[in-house]
Amino acid sequence: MLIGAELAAWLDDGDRQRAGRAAVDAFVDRWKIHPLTMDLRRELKAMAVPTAASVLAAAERMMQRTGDLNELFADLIPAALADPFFRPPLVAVGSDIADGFVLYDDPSVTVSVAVTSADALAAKKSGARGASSIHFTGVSVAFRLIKSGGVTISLWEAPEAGADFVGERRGKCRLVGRRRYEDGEWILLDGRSQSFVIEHVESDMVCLQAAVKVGGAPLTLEYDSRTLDYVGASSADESASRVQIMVSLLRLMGRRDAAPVIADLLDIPSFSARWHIMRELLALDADAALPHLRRFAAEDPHPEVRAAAARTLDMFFAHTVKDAASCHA
Amino acid sequence: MTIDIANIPELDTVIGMHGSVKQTEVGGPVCMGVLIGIALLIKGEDIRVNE
Repeated sequence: MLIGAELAAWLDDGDRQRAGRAAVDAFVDRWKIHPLTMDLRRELKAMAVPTAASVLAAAERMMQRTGDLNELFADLIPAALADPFFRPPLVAVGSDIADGFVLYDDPSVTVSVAVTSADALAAKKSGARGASSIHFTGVSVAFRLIKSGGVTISLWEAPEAGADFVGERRGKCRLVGRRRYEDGEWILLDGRSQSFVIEHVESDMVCLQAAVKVGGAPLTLEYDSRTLDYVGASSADESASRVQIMVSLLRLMGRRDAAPVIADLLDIPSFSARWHIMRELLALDADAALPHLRRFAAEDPHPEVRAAAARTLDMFFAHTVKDAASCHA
Repeated sequence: MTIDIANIPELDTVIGMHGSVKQTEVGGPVCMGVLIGIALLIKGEDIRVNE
C-alpha cells in the first residue's frame, strides 16, 4: 500500500496518535455533560409515556438552542484544524446527497445535523435512471433549516397505513403545497401520512433534524413520483424483520425442535411477519402449525391472512376434516 | 405430512423487509437521512455517543 508522507509520519508517531485520542476523549467527556444533551435526556426520562408529539417537542427545544450548537462546533473545529487525522467522536451519517453527524441518540429520538449538497442533488435529479418514489417514512420528523440554500420543497400526503393495511386499496398520494423556504424555517412532518420532495436548491443546505422513534407507522410506503400511484411498502419494524430471517434460517436448517419457539412468535403485530412465520412453521412441522392455522383462518385481524389461512387449510388439510367427520360417523 | 413452502399461498399485499425499497427516492426525507435512527438501531449500542 502506498501512503503519503504525512500519514506515514503520523503512523510512526505514537505520542501524536495518543494526543489525538486524548483530544477525542476530552471532547466526549465535555459533550456528555453539556447542558444541550443533559437537558434533552432529562426531559425525555421524565416522560411517563413518551408520545411522538411530546418527544418531537422536546427535540425541537434542543434544536432551537443555536448558541449551544455553535459551541459544540467551535469546540470541534480547532481540533480538526490542528490534526488532519482528528476524527470527531460523533457518528457520521449520510446518503447520496447529504453528510452529517448524530448529535443525540436514544431509544426515542435521533437528532442530527447534515449538509445537503446542491451539486449532488442536481446530479441525482439529472442523472436519474428508472422510476423513483416519494417515500413516507412512517416517523415524525422536524427539520430546522439553518441555511435553507433557497430550497423549494413540495409537500405530499397519503392515507396512513394501519394494522389492516391492504396494498391494492392505496390509490395515489397527492400534492398539498409547494414553496421556497428561507433560513431558520422549520419543516414538521408526520411521516405516517406526510412527506416532501426537494424540487430545487440554489446552494448547499445545512439543517438540524430530529427523527422520532416512538409512535410511528408499522410500514414505510412508496408512491411513484410520476404517476403518484402506490408502488410498495416495507416493514418499519426492524425486530419483526429480524425474526422473519431467523425463522427462515431455522426452517432451512430443518430444526423441528424449534417449532414450539416459532409457534410462540405467531402473535407478532406485523401481519406480513405473522404469515411469513406461519408459512415457515407449516413447512417445518405441519402438525404443530395446524391448530394455529385454524385460528388464523377463523380470527386473524387481517383479511388477507384469514383468506390465505383458509386457502392453505383447504389445499393441505381438507382430508383431516373429512377424517374427523368419518370418525365421528 | 411434509409441505413444500413454495406451494403455500402468499399474501396479495407484499411487504418488504425493514430498510428495503422498491424504487430510488426522488429526493426527500430518506435522502436527507431520516432513516438514521433505524440505522443506529441496527448497529447497536456501540456507536451511541451520548450514553
